[in-house]
Amino acid sequence: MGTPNGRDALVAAALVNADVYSAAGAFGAAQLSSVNIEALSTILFAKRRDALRLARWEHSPAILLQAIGDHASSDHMMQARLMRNQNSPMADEIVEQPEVLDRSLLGLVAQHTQAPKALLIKLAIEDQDVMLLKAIARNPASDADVLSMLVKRAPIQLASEIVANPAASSEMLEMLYEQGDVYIKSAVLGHKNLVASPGFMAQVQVDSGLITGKTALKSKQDQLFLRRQLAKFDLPTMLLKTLAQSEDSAVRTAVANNPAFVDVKLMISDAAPTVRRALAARADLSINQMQSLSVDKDVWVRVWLARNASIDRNTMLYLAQDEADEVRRGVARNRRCPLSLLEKFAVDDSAWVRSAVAYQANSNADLLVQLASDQDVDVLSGVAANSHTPKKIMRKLAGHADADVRRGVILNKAADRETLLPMLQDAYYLHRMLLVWNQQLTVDDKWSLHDDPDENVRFAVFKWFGDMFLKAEH
Amino acid sequence: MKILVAVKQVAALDEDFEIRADEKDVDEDFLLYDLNEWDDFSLEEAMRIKEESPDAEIEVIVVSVGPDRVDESLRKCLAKGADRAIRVWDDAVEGSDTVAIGKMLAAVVKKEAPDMVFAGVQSSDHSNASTGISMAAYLGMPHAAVVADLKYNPGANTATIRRELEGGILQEVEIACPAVLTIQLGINKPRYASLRGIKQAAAKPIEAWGLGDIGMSAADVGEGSAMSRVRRMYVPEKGRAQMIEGTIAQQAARIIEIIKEFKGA
Repeated sequence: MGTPNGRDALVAAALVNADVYSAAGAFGAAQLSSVNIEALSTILFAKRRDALRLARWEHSPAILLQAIGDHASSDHMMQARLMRNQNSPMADEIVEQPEVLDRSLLGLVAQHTQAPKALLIKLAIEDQDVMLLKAIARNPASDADVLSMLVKRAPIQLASEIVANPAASSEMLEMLYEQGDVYIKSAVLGHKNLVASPGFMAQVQVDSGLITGKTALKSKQDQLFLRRQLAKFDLPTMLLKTLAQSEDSAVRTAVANNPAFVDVKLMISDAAPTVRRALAARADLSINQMQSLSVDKDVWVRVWLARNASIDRNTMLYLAQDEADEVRRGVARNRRCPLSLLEKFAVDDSAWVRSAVAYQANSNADLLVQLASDQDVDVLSGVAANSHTPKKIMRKLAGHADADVRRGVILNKAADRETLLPMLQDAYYLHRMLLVWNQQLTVDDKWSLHDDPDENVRFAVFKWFGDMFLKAEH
Repeated sequence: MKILVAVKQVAALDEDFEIRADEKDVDEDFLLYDLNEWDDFSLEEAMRIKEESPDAEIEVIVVSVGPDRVDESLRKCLAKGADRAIRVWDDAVEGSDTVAIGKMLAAVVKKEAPDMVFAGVQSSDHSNASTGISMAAYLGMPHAAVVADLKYNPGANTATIRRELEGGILQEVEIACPAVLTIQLGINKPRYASLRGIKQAAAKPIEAWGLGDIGMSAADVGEGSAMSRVRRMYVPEKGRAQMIEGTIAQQAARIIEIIKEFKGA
């Protein structure tokens, strides 16, 4: 069968294939044609087991899930699977009358990411089940308006769910801080939406015992808990200095990670490796500080420094001779690593280091040709994925026995059609699926997979063609 | 020479399913069929031996007991390189226990007279881990279970195997051949079938054998002759598991408490 030139031809091809996954892929393209929809439905809904699989399948398009819902409206298990599938659109009658659903289905509606706002608000106002309200509070589809309804009803019972929702407003968070326990307070301080006013920050400083005041938490442990969050804020220099001298290494690590803290020298010899690791990743280290960290006894301090994009050339050269291959790999991965060092790393004893060279964007074609004769799969995968790899090498790696190496070629944006064509016969179905979306291959190339033995590949082909036709028409 | 690999098409389940009205199994609509994971490794081990000894002219035969749908799994084995596939079935086999399945497979082994027999350690759906050993018992052949490594030269009188024991211990054993070995996961890296292999497998015949072909009758198999039978399949009442609620820090604190409780700290 030739490459289809439109939606009707695609549906006809799916009918020739007569399998559920081709039909599922073409279903979107069949819209606007009741004849096509009906024809595909005979394949899709002939067996309940097929419809059940599609109802839970994460790739099933919304229009297909809606059709399954219409077809099996009285099948409770089918409806439950549809409600669990986050691609499922919410039927109008559910939005208008959620009470028609039994409690188990309603619970699934409450956590569905496509649940309409009006429905969530209605449930948030009217429902009495705390578990259902918690599900709404956790739902990423719940915006600040929905959450505010929940806050009005049961702020303490739902606090841990609301404070974890990315839509919680700063005002709401401040209220939860006031009413919540130390865990809620800590979560509020960690929320990205919190716009901490000076008054609020002053309150937190008192609660954490950092500044004397009546509202300070009684437990020292609880105070520490708040300070670990507080140390991430842009506080006055003196307060950050105080926190930098905390007995608690987690507080000091938070300070070390805080760009607002500039007195790095205070912490450069900190006893906790986690603090020094945080410092090693900072962009504002002086040359002396880098040199100090480059001889740190903790390997991960040196690794973070080796990866640091602000590292100076001499420190980089020093770390390039480190005995730990993770550190040398860190240097080899650094985007500032010069070609002269990469040439040295390309013959490193450790394959882990050589593979970093193979993946490095700064590696040139000569280096990659040299690495292409390596036997290590990680190295070859890097060569296969590197856009500077010459075509001849890429074509050779496209036929490599190891699937990871071949996948490197498929994911390489510089791989041309001639390189990719033989890979349409790749034994690994996922590779064939990836090729359906590849921009170098022609529609005829892709259509050659329409009768692929693997159901996922067939679905991908029919879906890709369907989407292409729909896009062209609109 | 021949290597015979006993394989099974197993059923997998999604998180939600319905039990059949007779309460003896899951409703067929919810079962997803595929080749048993252990059998992928058994077949790969047979293919490895075959490919490493091209002069030995080894024939790899896959055998399964099951209805028509099992052909799909057998074709998968053919696509990966098996030379022949045999499916044994008769409606009377329905309800057979693993001992009867072992007896049927043993009858196939007697007829084919292979030099080595592989089976998976267990099936992922019923986990009886008894079919391979039951087959060996009917054959009176040397056998070893949970084989994690195999050194075997085709035609040799013995093979050296490593068996996985408790506590990560390996037991190295020399075993007389022909033998029945149940193969453990991880013994090799199973291949994907090539597209060419899949297309060629579609044209290969699958030998359909009935009970008469292996010298057995309906009286030897089925629920009536089974030494064990399923009385009921059900989802048990919820156990002691509980969801830990609260913020991330609250959950972490609770987990620490639980660990301390269990350690008696």
